[in-house]
Amino acid sequence: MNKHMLKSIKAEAIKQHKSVYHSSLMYFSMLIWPVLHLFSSYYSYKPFEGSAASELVAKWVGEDMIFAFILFGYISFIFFKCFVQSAWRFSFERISGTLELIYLTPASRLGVMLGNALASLFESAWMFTVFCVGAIVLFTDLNISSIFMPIVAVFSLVIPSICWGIFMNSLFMFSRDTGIFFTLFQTPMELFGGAKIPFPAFPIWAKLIGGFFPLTWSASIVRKIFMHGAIFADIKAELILLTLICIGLFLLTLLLLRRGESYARKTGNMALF
Amino acid sequence: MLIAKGLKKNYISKEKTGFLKSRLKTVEAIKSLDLTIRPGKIVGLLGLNGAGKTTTIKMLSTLLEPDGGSCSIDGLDLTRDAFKIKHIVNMIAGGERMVYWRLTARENLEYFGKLYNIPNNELNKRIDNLIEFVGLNERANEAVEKYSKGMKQRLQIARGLINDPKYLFMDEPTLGLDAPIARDLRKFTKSLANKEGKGILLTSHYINEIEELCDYVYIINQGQKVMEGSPKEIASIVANCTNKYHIKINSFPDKLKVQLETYLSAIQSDYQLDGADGSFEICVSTHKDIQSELIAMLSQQTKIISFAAMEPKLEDAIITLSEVRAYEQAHA
Ligand SMILES: Nc1ncnc2c1ncn2[C@@H]1O[C@H](COP(=O)(O)OP(=O)(O)OP(=O)(O)O)[C@@H](O)[C@H]1O
Ligand SMILES: [Mg+2]
Repeated sequence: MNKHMLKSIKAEAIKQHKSVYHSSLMYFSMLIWPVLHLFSSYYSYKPFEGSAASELVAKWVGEDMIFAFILFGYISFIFFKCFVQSAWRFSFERISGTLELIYLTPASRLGVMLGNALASLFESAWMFTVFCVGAIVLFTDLNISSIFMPIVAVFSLVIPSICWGIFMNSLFMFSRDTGIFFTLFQTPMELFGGAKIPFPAFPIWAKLIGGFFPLTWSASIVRKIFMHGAIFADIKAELILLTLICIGLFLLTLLLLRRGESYARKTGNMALF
Repeated sequence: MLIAKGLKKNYISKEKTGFLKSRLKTVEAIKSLDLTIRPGKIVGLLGLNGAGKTTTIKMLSTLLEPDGGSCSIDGLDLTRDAFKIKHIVNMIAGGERMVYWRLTARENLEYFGKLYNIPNNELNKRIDNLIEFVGLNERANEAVEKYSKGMKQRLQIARGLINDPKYLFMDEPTLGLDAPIARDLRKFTKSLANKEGKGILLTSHYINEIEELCDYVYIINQGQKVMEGSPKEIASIVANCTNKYHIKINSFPDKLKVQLETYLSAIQSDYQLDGADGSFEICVSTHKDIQSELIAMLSQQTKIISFAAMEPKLEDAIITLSEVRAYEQAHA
């Protein structure tokens, strides 16, 4: 990583942040939004109580843990969702013509994707904090083994979600039909990533799909750390899988960026939308 | 110096032949183009819609990969050294897009400057100068969405100069601008070439703009060069290619009609007749200057109410020139 790349990362993160949070109303909505989400996840769980699905969850996580299960699943999901949304926002640069101008410069393409993803880290980190405070207030019997483990939890959310974010960004750069990717990745991630339904409860085919989403393993780590007082050794398998997935995503991103640019230079599709 | 030889660009596009069925079609956007841009000179690229102007500019600015031919910019190869070339070229397109509307002018320039890896203190100095240069000083810290069209366009120009490019490609920069702002922009473009020694390629639909600014002009049509030369040469050829006269006359007796038709067909020309509310309007198109002959002929037999010689139109000239070229090629 050279100085030019660092500069591109920083410039893109600042630009993206400024163009999203251009008014104080946005900051205000950031205060309201997570609170609304928290309530909606709480109340969407309410009618769930006593249903067949809740029994399924209860079977895997225990009766008294259902709400915590849903809450931490949601926290993890929100983290990833922010990045997908930011990628989707980034794809609008094609329409505004600024994408072409970025490609006109000699800036590191990976740096720009990374900077763009980092800008939404700000949003996710904020949501995460609000949710965690909410979790502590609503759900007092958190079971954490040591102060060190929540830091591991944060890292196992931040790094995979950034990898997911740059992967999404480069995918959206490659193609104009971003809507397809959005439905292709967002919905299955929500469904199979174990955010709502415990991953072990899935049939094998769903596990195969869900296993590819880093969210699945991040959520599992977060839950184990906050709900079950896991120590490092308890989450080793997930961490290894997560690392492999991140490396895979990163390599895929590099490939997509290179292929995407040469494809755009052939077809001129960067100016089309 | 920028020297392009035999540049080619094909687009593959899908043609719908039915529901879910499509066929690949190759569009030869640029067939074979030779072009030279010297430092400190403004070169014009003229052509009708779809002639291939934007395609040419995008190839030269590394956004599109040529499918053939070669191009060297100050000794760098357009394909091999694309990333080095990005440092010394920039592109400006007309219209209001292509800046971040929610950022201020300064923030926009800072962003792009950093992508070009310009050292911070140098960048700040440059931004101050550019903002002054394009006259946005008073509004530099206001969000771009509140700017007028002309101001956005001026910011676009500042953006195009942020890396102090040696070669600047301008794609219809005066598109949609009011006459006084377009005039300012032209003055400005001239000083970029004359004072700062930048080599500039300018595309336009307007012959006047090209005449005023350019040192040399290429005219292209359907991806092929139709002619090249100094703007004076081009303008005189254009003027000779097409003359249009709009004449309003009192009456149009048959004798005159026959006489006019014989005269015009002898010089391979034509006329059209439109008449409303009892008057007669004839519109004569010809490649010859026959103003005095026409007036003499008409005034003998009727009363001329008005006589207007239309400005020669570049569009007509390009079409005529392309036809001539196609004819020459077919008979070569
Ligand atoms: N991305 C693309 N894919 C397929 N065909 C394209 C693409 N871009 C341009 N073309 C075609 O290439 C030809 C040249 O287009 P180009 O945009 O270079 O013309 P132009 O001279 O800039 O026209 P205008 O004056 O309208 O801007 C046109 O026939 C156009 O339809
Ligand atoms: Mg064009």
